[in-house]
Amino acid sequence: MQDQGGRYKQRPGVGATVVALSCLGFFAISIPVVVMIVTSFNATPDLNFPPSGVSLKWYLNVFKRTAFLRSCQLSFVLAALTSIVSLVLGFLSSLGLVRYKFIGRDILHSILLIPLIVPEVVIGCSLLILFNKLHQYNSIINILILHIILVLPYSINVISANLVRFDMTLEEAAMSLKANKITTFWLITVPMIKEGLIASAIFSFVISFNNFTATVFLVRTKSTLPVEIFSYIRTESDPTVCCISTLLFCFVVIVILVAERLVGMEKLAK
Amino acid sequence: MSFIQIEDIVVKYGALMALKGITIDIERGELLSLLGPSGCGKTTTIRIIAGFVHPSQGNVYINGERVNEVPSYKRNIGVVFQNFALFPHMTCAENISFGLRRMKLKKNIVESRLKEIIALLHLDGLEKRYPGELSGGQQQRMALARAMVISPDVLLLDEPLGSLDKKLREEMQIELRQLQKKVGITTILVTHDQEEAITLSDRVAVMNDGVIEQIGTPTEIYEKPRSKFVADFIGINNFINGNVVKIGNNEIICKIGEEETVLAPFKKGYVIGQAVDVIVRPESIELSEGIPLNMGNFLKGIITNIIYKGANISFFIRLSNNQVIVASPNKLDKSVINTNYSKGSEVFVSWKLESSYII
Repeated sequence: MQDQGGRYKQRPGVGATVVALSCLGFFAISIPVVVMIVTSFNATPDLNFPPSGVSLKWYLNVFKRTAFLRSCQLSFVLAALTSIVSLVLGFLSSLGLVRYKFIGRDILHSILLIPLIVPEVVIGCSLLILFNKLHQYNSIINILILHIILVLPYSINVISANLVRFDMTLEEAAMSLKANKITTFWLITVPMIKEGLIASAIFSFVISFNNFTATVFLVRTKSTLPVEIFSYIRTESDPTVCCISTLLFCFVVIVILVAERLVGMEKLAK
Repeated sequence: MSFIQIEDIVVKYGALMALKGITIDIERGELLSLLGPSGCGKTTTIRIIAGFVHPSQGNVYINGERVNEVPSYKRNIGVVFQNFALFPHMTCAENISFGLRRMKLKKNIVESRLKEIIALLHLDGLEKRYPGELSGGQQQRMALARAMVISPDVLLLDEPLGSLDKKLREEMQIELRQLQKKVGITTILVTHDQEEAITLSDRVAVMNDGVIEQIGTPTEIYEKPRSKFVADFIGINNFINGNVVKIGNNEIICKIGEEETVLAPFKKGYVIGQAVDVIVRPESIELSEGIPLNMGNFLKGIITNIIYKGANISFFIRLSNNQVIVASPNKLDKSVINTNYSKGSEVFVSWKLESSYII
């Protein structure tokens, strides 16, 4: 990446103010997370801050209650499947929308983006009614379909953004060098938009894993982790949920660090 | 049948006709340039031969075979794009050997051909670098290597030297021509630079707005342009309007303005009274203070502008019929050196009969 050069000449003190404000903002965002992490080590069964004692017993509680572990597993599986399906569907949709002109293309594009605008309550509720009408009572499949619908617009947006900037002469060059369309696709197109595909997969995973509002309509006997947490805090008020959140937080940080290693933060943000 | 042939090609983009019926025959081993201004259809023509664009009408033949329905990856072509189109996620060696690896050749054959072409194009030592790490000239040679190593029937070059600076461009022009002749590969070169076309080509096809104005050797194009557009584009921009007054055996006499006449070499198909343009190559015009001796043509004029161009000096001269022509004699020419021309000077412009041409 080349430096654009040409720094603006700043009035003295402006740079310091910007840094100070950024730190303040960062601090403000991170306070809830810090409080949550500290509270998870509370000795007493309440959510007082600052904590009166330090204990790991609430972490033990997380692993003792099998409901948490099972719902976490379900959330993981659903998120992974959602990620994969939305990657494939999102990629194919983006290819169609970006590279081909056909009647109704813009309308189709708008329709595919509707889940971004419609409230999750409405989506969840209407899917519940639909699945009941179709006598489709397998809640796992229902939730999977719901998550794919919620996530697809993000996938399409991210991948389309990458495809729009794609230089078609690269594909023409590959074809002039005896690569047929399939070979060109796998050797040229996919590697070139690798960052968009990874970003799409990560987005999809996170949105699916965290989803509560719409998912809660379709949960029956087996629930996802967010729904399970909600059930827990309706009756209990101990720091167990803080422990779950802290563990998830650590997991996300590790994933992002690994992704950054593989791909580079600048490219992920593109 | 010639090696490459495109026949009556028409290309339409909606209502816009990019090519209006193009026919070109290209001989094996020749270097043909497609020369013309932006938008004339020269890149579209090359893309038709490559197979990236399908013609609305017409046929394309490569090596005797009709290839209209044949996809690009089955035509035996090599393409160098204007932006090089190097694969950024592959090294130099991987880029160049890309086509070879699609051909299912034995590994040692791929290696040896790769080595050969790298040496031929002076890319030694750069095999493991990525395109982004190379200079413009190196990228250009890499793109050329990648296209040539697969031994295509035809090499298609789309303004390959456009992004290089002048000095590098001139060096690469010579290298390119030598390479092309050495390997003997049929080549079609797209360019808007008339100097490049004349320097490199066996033949030049001058295009304008979707049609071919003239195809011929560089000499034919330069000495006998068939239309005002071709003459103007090739750099001969002196058009003296006049009317034919007499047709002789060797020359045609045209009246310019009120009193003066010029002679142009004889050309068939002109009648008395016809309005014509007589073109004169700027570098063949001499200046003198008095009436020149032994020159076929001379006219009186006033200098309106003088531009120093390094090796030449361009004089803008207004003639008696108010037309302005350009004389660009070499600055060491006897008619210019040791003289004191300036704006407003009255001069005589003269040229030999053979230096002009009637259109």
